Amino acid sequence: MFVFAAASAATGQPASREAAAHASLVVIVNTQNPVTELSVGELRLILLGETTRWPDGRRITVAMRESDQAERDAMLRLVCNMSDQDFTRYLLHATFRGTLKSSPKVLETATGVRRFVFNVPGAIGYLRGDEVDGSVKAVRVTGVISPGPAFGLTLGTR
Amino acid sequence: MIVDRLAPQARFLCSCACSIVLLPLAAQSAAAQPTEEPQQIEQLQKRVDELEAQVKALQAQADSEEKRQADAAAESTREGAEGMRDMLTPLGLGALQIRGFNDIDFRTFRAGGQVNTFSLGQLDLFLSSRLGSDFSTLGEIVFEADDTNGLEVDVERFLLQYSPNDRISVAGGRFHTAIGYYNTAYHHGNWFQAATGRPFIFRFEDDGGILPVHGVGVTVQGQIPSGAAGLRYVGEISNGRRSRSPDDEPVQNVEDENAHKAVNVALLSRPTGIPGLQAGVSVYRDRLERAAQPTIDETIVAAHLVYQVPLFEQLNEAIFIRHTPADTRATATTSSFYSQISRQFGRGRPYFRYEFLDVPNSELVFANQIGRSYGPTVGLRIDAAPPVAIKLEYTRLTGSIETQTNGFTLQFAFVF
Repeated sequence: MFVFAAASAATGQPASREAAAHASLVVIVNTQNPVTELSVGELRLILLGETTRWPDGRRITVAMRESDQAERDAMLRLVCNMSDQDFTRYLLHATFRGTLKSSPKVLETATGVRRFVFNVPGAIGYLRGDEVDGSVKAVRVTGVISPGPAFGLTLGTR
Repeated sequence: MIVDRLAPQARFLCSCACSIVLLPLAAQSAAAQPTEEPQQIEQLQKRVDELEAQVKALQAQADSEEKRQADAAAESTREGAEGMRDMLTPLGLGALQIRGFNDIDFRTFRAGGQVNTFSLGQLDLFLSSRLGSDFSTLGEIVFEADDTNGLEVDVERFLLQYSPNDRISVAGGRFHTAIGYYNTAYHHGNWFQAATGRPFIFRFEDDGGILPVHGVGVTVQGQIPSGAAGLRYVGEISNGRRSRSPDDEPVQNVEDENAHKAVNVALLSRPTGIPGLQAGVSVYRDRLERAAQPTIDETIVAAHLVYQVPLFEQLNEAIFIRHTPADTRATATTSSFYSQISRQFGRGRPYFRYEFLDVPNSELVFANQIGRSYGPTVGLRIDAAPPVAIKLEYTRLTGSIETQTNGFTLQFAFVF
């Protein structure tokens, strides 16, 4: 769902948390998606699987990076106020309750996330700002309560 | 990037078109040959236009196929884009996902004739599967020991769900009734909940519970457009509980004892400004037809206020069960509430729960839980590993229900 670019755009290799320090995360969607802005609350509901459709009715597919990536940790902390373990447990519980219809897709690299969002019209992900290109659309995130960094990353609001 | 995405045929046609365009241009640049024939140039231009149209058609076809494959990849839990896998799908499994939950307990008893004992919990196999874009199914098959130490198998939940959007989701089958909060938040997997067991008002029917926690029928739920209020609704119609004899299976899986159906409606609010907060009310109505006795109207009203985030939880619920015989209209009201609080400290989560249940003597439906029971439960849950929880709990209840639970419980609960 969110693509957190922990990886160098050039190499596709995961970047260290130190290297990712002070970078900002950008929420991206497919270029066909008419959505241009999401509040943090809406983003949270999407990540948690409570909102499953875009306004045009298309199913939302969340793309996430592997666990133990600074970008993923930061996105979960900044948007859901959860650790990665909390989030995994939440997904399992939501599946058990029957409220989660589709769990997030996990991609190994930032390039993989970008390509996934490019190819899947209903996809949403996250990248570091310098990993976003014209193949995907950046979504403006509003209502960020905590502008401070988490795991060296902030949530971009462009 | 666009060229990379073209099919081989499109690339070939594109090359031809470029060559055809460049040739006349090269001829033009050779000004020494003023013998151009306008008709020939016109034919070449026409041919270029045709080739360009074919290139565009092939490109559109390739794009369409790519989108179709991408959508299919997004829906699939096994295959997808390069490097993609489903977060909750173990590698090698098919579309049918299976999760298991179990617990192993050791109990000591403070009073009564019971002895300290090891105890197997419920072996719960949870099945789920996507059936296309809008359909899904889930089920819980539980293996558990009965009072004679024999093992039996129960299908505790089995649902076919249709979820075309967030406003409505319809499911049919056997489900946990949406009475209050706990019954649908926690099912048969003890690993999820902080304590070793459910509040006694939410005990399962085959464990002495007094609520119809399971139903067989249809349930509808969804979001109500309400902005920051985050309203949701639940509506259920089911066979209700069996009441002709205490010895009967309480959940009417295949046959209703009467034509009257149980109806339950619930309204919930999850304010978007306060993540983790939920408040809700539910009203359940049924008619019980006991053998050779007057029918009884059953009304169950439940209200809850819950705040639950990963680090902290506070659960508060109150449930009132009203039974009114058709002949005397003398209503008996059973009251119950519980409050539970817990806080995560590293791997540890201490918790405290206080419960209260008051069944009046005039109650006609519950044969075994007459009277008042109340008391605290205190415990510590330690997550030894993400899938393994160790819980140590002490319960001290007063009243007729006390000998069923009082004492220490050590539980190992896990998911696999």
